[in-house]
Amino acid sequence: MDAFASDHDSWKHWFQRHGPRLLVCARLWTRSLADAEDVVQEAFVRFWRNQRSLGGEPLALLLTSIRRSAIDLARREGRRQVREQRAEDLREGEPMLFEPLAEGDDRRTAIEGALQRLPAEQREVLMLKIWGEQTFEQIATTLELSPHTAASRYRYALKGLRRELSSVQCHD
Amino acid sequence: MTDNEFTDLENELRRLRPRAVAPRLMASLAADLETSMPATPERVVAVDHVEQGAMPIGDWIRWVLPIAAAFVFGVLAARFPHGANEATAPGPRVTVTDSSLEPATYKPVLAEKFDYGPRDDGLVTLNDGTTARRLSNQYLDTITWRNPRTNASLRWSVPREEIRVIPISAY
Repeated sequence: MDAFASDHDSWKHWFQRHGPRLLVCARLWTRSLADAEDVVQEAFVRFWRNQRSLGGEPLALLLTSIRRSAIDLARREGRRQVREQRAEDLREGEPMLFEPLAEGDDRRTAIEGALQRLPAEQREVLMLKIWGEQTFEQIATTLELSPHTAASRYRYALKGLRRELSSVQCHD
Repeated sequence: MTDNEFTDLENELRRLRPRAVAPRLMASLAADLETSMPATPERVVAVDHVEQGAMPIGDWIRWVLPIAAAFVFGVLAARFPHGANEATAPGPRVTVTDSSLEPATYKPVLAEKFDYGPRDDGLVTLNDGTTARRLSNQYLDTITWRNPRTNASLRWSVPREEIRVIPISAY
């Protein structure tokens, strides 16, 4: 992160590396990919212009900022109820969240489907942990809950995901 | 479900890579950042302070200062409606500042330590050939600063790891 202060164009390098993770997490709190891109852009521009010299962990700061921007967006558009019912949000027809796997795409499709069926509060902890690469403490700060609750939800999410994936395998 | 099964599933999830950023988003960011971006940040402000509004802090200052100046001028004009001479005479100087933006106004109010618990890393062989057990603890130290005037806060978290190596003797 030291490159932030010296390299005028380093935002491109940083965003190409971390932007996909920010987007996949932003998708948790927004209604569409377009909304996710909007809140990521808003948060990143604000971060780059005003907050990058603060120190600390940029990804954690950005994820917190993105979540707040998403909440603001939902409020502006009267979408609070919709936002809290995230199970419907990852809609069909939208681009997939992850890159296709080289060995075949069935497993990725199954995992994305299983993620959608997880309770929203478990899914967001799981995704922040795995793809946001956040600690439970950071997740707790972002989601405004205790680290123990975050850890507990994460464990439930893994159990739920395993159950969902086993169920898919049984039906195949 | 065992911890190994958790680990396997976690590893499988980590193999999934989020989709790359769309070129249109990169172009949009470039348009935002490269047109008027300074080489280095202009000022340091508290995280929560920035988060409270959607408008960047620079825009706030550009808007608030002229409005505040106009307001002060309006109050003075209303208070001394006939004092044309007084208005031009030297009087009390009004300075509009926002001291909440100065880092010095933030005071540490809370220090916390989160302990992730001990971890036994198992037996290790030291340089002198003796065997020892390696134990580690991971902590997250968090310090919170607050501006008492505005109630804005800034939190700084630093991960820390403590490693202990305990020699083992066999008789």
